[in-house]
Amino acid sequence: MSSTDATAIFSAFKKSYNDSTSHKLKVCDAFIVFFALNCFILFLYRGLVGSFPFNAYLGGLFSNMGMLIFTVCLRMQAAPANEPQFQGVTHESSFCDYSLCAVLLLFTSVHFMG
Amino acid sequence: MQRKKTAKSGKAEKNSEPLDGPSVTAVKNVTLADLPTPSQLTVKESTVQMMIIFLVLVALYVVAFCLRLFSVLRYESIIHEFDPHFNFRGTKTLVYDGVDAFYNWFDTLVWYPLGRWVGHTVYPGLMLTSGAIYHTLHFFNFPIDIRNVCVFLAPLFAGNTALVTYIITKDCWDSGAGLIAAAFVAVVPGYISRSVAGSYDNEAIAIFAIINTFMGFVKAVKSGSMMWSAYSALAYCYMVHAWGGYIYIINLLPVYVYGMVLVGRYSHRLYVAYSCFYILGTLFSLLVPFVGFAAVVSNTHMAAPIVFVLLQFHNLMAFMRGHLGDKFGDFFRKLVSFLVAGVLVVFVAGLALGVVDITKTGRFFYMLNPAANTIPIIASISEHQATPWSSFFFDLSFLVLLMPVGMYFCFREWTDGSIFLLTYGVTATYFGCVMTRLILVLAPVTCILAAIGVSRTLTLFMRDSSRGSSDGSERGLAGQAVSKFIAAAVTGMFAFLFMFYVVHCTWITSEAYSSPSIILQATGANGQRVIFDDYREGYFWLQTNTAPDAKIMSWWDYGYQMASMSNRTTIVDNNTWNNTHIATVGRCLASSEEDCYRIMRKLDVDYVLVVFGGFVGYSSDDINKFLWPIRIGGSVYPMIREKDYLDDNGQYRVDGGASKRLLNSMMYKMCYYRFGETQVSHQHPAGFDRVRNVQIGRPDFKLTKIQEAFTTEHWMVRIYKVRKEPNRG
Repeated sequence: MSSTDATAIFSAFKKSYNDSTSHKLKVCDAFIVFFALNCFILFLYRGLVGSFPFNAYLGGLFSNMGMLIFTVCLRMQAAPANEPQFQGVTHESSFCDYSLCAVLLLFTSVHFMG
Repeated sequence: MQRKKTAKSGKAEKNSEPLDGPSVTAVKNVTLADLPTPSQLTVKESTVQMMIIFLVLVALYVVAFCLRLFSVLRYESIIHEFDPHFNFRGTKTLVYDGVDAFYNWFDTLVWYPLGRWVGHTVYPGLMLTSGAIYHTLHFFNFPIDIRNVCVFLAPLFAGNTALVTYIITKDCWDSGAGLIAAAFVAVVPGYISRSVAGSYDNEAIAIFAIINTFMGFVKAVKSGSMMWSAYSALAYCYMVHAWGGYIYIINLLPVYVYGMVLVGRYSHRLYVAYSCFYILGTLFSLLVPFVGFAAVVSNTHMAAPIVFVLLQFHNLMAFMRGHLGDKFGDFFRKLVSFLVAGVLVVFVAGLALGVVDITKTGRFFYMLNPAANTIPIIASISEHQATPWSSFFFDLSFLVLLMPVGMYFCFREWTDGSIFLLTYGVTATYFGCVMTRLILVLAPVTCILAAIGVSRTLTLFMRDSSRGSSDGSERGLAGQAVSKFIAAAVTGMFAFLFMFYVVHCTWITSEAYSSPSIILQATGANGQRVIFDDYREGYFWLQTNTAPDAKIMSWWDYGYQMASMSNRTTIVDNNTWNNTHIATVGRCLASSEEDCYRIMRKLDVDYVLVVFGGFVGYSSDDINKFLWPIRIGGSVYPMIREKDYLDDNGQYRVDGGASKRLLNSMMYKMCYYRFGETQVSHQHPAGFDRVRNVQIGRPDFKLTKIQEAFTTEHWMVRIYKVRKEPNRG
């Protein structure tokens, strides 16, 4: 019963997602899933092997989590449905801010990894 | 700040209303939307407005700087108090030896024989700021001495604080309130108390950094742009480098975000602002060696990641709901049950493995639960006592009365910015009530909220010159009719209040907050000014008359000043990081001469320094503080019991009825050596202590293990040399 429920939910989600998301946003989503997978792998590695150079672990984790969040924010600002909430934020400035945040994040993470 | 009274209108009015009655029209519910927005002004008007704002802010820079210069004008440009001397020493190391040497500096001249790893136990922001300013000035060939850079740093940053206060109030309310808030914060005594010229401490830049971070965050929430989130994260980075109070920010912002979600004002802008800020901010706070990994593992920092996870969860659920429609309910129920079970398992496993720490001690938990004031060394610090009622008016003047007005208006105009100000105001008020020192954190938000109250009230009553008075009665800026008399009266009252505020602030700065505490002043019998420069006299004696590797023991209050001015090794200082070491010194001062001598030989002490005020009547001397060495010594060494040093009735006295232990203790002997044969004035007998107002209980004794090395002009600093053991050969 629950497995058919789960399958039904999943297929409904898949259908709705495919219908309503443009190609640009799907690229963003693929990027997001990539970062999430990276975070999960890092977490698994830490559980299995330990976190000895803790700042290296944090550097890796933060750069992945950070890029995940920034891509989510970029997607939010690019989605046409969210237009009314982001007055004064154009697509160009949104991408420019995204690059700025990414540069800050990655520069600091690499510096922090030591 | 002086406000212009309303100008009387030139033409004769045909007033249909009685002069001194209120307006007969019902009071319209005026909102921000009714006020003229900048886009409705003509080009000329908006240019004039910009000019006025610019001129007012420049004037505030000058006022904020000049008001803090009292002690420089009265005495000289000198570093005040205790902690600033350590910061000054650190800045000199940074500037003369370089950044690497500063971050890796292990100080062997303090906490003998332990030393102190300064690079990793200090907040480097203050030193880095001064170093940057010093090098910039020297690059442009202005050879300003590092001491002057340090002394004048705080007044400089006071102007910056006024500027960012203006910006944040403009974002949360309007620019009129912004100017008033900036004017209030430039002179508010609560802020001046820690930022006079010479008070070279972390708070000098930290208050600016706090408001800067909040300003960036409010702009990020209002615009939803990631650039402002990055700015607020960089401002937060500066704040973490500057002061330990950054914990307030990293807990306040999650509370604000959570509060916004609870009242139903979740928006994508909030999500963007907080998520980007959290990631970048936490990463930046890991860069400060003193904080280390605390940002991710310490339990005082856990509010931020929890709210972050909640926000992600909220966003993800909104996303799924948008796609699943009516199937969302099933999905949500499954997910929640799975997650709750998982979190419980992880938490219980963490407790069992000892990974999760739920202890409740330390300075930060004292602030959340002030009743649990059990650690003596934290309890002994005068700034950590609960705030008395009078100091609210002393430090904030009539702004305490206007702050609830501003809070009321913030409730009425329910925007993102006003909710933030409310959260900030309520939490800051709580902390301001817990500790005297935290009035400093309360001062800026009091200014902002009071300014909102004032601005909103004045817009109803101040005459708007651009609208014609067609029916002869005055119209306030909000466009509703009020009686001319009421308008003039209210505006005049506010003008008077503002003038009183400035007079109050100036007087308080001059009398209460401008003393360097290292130079004292009194009025003599003939009205002449008597300067007590004994502290510096004692420290410079040490610098010029002792061996370079001499070790000086004193109570921890004077450690930083001694290290900075006499450049000698000290045993304990104001950092108070090692309670046992301080307790050893406390035990030593409270023991008899023989016991003390044994401990001093073990610590390699060469000289001992005490501060004694009985000759001139200086009441913060070591005899008045003596109960604290006893208590702190007694907290570690059980042979020191406080009741042994009190008389039979439990009173602390030094005259004939004092306890034998006290009269035999090292502190008593060092303070009162040869005092028994001294007459302070003709009215009093020999050995009369001017602070305790008694004749001392044991006037004649000899010192066997130490000998007097130096006593300053007014007997305030007394230095003794520890005798070496006799040569037994």
